Amino acid sequence: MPIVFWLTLGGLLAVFFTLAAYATLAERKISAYIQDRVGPNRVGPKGLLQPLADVLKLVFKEAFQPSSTYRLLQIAAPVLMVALAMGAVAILPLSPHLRLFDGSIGLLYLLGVLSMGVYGISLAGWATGSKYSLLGGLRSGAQMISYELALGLALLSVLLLTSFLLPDANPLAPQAIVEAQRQGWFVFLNPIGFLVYVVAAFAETNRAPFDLVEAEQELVGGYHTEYSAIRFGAFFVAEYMNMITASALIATFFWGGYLGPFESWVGVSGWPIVWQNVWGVSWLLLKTLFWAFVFIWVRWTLPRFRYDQLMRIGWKVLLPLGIANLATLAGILLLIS
Amino acid sequence: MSIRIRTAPPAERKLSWWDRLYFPAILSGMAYTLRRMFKKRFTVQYPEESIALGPEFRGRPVLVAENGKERCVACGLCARVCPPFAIHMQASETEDPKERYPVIFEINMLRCIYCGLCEEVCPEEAIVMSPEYDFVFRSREAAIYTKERLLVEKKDLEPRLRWLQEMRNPQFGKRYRFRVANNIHGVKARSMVREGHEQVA
Repeated sequence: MPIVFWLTLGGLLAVFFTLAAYATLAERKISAYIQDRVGPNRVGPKGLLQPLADVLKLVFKEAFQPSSTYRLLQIAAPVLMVALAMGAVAILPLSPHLRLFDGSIGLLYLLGVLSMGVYGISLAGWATGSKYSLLGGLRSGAQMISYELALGLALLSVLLLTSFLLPDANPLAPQAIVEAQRQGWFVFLNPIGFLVYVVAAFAETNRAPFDLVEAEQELVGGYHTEYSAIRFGAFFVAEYMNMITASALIATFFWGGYLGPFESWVGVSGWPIVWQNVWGVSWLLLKTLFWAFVFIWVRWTLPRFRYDQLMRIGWKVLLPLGIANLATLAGILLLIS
Repeated sequence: MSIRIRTAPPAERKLSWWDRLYFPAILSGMAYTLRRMFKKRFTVQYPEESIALGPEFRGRPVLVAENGKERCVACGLCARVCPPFAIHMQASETEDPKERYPVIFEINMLRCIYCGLCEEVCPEEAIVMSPEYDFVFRSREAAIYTKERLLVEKKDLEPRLRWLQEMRNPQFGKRYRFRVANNIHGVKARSMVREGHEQVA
């Protein structure tokens, strides 16, 4: 068992890092295609080695620190960001038989890790001692608090459905949430909760249209204005890792995670365990990639929200919507049982 | 003469119930960007490909050569008219019927602004703008193009020469009337000449 655990951990990390690196390339390519351009195509065949070149460039650049920084904290912030971005992946169930942790408190752990993410950004904004960075950090804090609630409410509705469909299982375990979707994915059972979760996830990952934290045009890059070289690269990687994580979580909570379509018709449960694992991992990967594409697609479609609009949507739309959805769902489930 | 002051912008548009849902509009926007992804791309992969340049393109100025000898009679008009003083020449006598020729003819390509005035002023059609625009030099000395580098055989410049004859001031060689179109590089004057107008407002 320990060997399987370490293999899973290693494989997961390798896939995760590769995905994050290639998400940068995907972002540039997709944005180019949307804007009738070609995108990077010089490094390697079709530009496929571009992430490697980018990393090399970042490593060999000078890591500059302005004199006004709190040195230790400024270095600690990007490390914290990357660590937290990786931490959230741990709870993902990869297939019926493959997961890193049994995760009896999986969802609580996830919420904790997700809200810790704001520390990296705020710390970076504050420790650099630059006005723009501080503004970015503060915005990030306000944004996280506003959207965490909506995210939590959407997750609560998922928990409700899980505990109704599988009364014996521990609904906090992500495994149970996926298993509960065998009858039907939660997108269809809980569409409002899905919408709330997706919008909140975009805000949590600080991506457009909620990227006020970076807002190149207003804040000159926001919290990472004063970062350069590999420290900036760490922020960059963490951002894309967050995107991949958020995609995987959307896939797990609402799109049936490792469950493929026509699972019972194909008869997956009769297959050898190895093939079941391959099947489950591939479906999860496919859904994750699709959602990563949606994240990028949305970024190059929508303009950034104004700050007051952002706050209004968070508090006056998403939060009431989440509560109403939860109450309605609870009422319906009560009536059925 | 009054100064216009912008007053407060109009109040935000009232959105209908459907618009306030946001999602229909967002989805239609996303459908649009998705469609764009499969459209034809305009990018020209420059060093490998290049765009087709018409005869009106002004690249580097060159001397027209007929049978390896320049048409230039070293009148010095181009050097005189050149706004950034990029042209330097020295005249001498020759046994040819044209009697004069430039011993030295140099264009400093760091100075040249590709305005085309030299071509416009030349009475012999001896200096014209070629379509060539991608050339590099590694020192200031190399940027001074001598007569040997400037000479281009006439047959290679045919499109530009034909275009010039079409566009050139029709009153050339007659008594000069100032109100008549005389700027072949001006878009308006050029189109008026093409349409047969004589008078430019």
